[in-house]
Amino acid sequence: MAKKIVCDGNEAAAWGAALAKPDMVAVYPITPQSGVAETVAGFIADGELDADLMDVEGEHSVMSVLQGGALAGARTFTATCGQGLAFMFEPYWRTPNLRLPIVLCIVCRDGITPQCVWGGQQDAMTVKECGWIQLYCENNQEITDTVVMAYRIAEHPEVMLPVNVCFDGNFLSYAAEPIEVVDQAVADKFLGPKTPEKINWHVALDPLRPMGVDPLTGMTGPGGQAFAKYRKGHCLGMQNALKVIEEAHKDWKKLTGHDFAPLIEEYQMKDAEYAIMVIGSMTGAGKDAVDVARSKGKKVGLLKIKTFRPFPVKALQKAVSKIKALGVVDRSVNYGWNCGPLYQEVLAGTSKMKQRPEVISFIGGLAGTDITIDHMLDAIDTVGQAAKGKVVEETIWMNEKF
Amino acid sequence: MATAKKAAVKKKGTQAYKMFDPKKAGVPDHLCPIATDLIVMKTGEWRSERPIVDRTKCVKCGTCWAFCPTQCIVEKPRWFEADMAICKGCGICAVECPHGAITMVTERE
Repeated sequence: MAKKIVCDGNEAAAWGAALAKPDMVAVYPITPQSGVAETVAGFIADGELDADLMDVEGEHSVMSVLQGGALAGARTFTATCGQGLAFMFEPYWRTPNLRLPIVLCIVCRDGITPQCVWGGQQDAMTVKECGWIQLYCENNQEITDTVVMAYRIAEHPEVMLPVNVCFDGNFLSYAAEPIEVVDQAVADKFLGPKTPEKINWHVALDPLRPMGVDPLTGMTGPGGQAFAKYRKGHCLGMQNALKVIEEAHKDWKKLTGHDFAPLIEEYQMKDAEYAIMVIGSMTGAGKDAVDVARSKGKKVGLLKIKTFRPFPVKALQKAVSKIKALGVVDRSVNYGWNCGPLYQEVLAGTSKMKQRPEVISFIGGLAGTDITIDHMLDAIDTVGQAAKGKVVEETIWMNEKF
Repeated sequence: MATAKKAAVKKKGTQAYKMFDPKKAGVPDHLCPIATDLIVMKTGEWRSERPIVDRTKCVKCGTCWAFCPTQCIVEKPRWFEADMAICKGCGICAVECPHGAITMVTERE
């Protein structure tokens, strides 16, 4: 029987991981992620989860040890954020190129400096070009469900890529909500039988199948051709993931009744003339603001992006095909373009449309600041003006005034 | 490029396993970098200068043989000389030869 519990986002991630029955977990605690490490360690200590817990000296070792585990055929899990992710970067970068289906929760924390331990998506956004799949969650139920789904996606033979399940530090990591933890049999049925071959059929540390893992590859000639081939294959795997992510969400809904949009959720978009686009936990405030604006007769909708890597270009184009203006709210900064990173992606994704909406960049909620319904209503007003032709060109910093 | 595809040589008393064959295992060749073939890199292809041995001066003392970093010096009936497939043209032998028997000559294209 599925059970209802009240837990915070970190515990929700741990419950999801437990349902996926990893063979090996390595975690190094860091705020606001430590709860994931503690909860999973608790499951293992209590005998509820039969996995090896690796106590390592830092995040660099966390990812390195999991790579070894995956190469030996183990299903693996970890979580980190912020500076921990920065320290993990070197092996983090290698994981997707080796096509190892590791699942890593990023409990999003803003980047230092200024010194900060609070929520913000700068960490996850900074590593968006490393070739990992990135899925952003709105609430604790979505975290649990997405961690389970992440294994199905990562281990799909046409994908074979690691997955980041990203959720906002503080706002979700420490917020208690009721969630439904599905029955183990349901998760087992969803993921299918767990075998080492599912993880390392293509690359392995296995004396019975001798191969050199990750040899020197490059330069003009056959080495360079091989390098280009692997990069191209990686991009293909990312594109295949779009279909697999949709299938996973569909099957999960069929088995559990839990319904989350796989790529982009469309909220009140049917007759919308303009919309705001959100990512992560700010979705709640966004939806409430849309409801308030709708009660005043404004034809506004909301788009929530869940799959950020690979970027769902077609789903975006379909979602914005009928609207005149779109405000994109980011919880992180794109320094190079003086705007939010999601905004930049949306501009790129809509650039080849014949009729494309005006797009405005909002940045808010940095370093643990709230994005309230009032902030969202302000944004909706600004986007509404843009739909009438009054377009703001500069990036709007939402928490500058209040 | 020489490609050694043969399985490990089976020696007496040891079990040799065949190299992993990605094609047979159904692994697409664009998936990820694994080495199942050996591509031999010939250091001789890097050379911009070659050592020329004056056979009248060489006394076969073996100094060049001892100093060569690629260990490419081979013994001939009355002299030593470098194997041009391996010699990378570093010139250490020419500097170390106590009899001044080796001179470095620029390679032509």
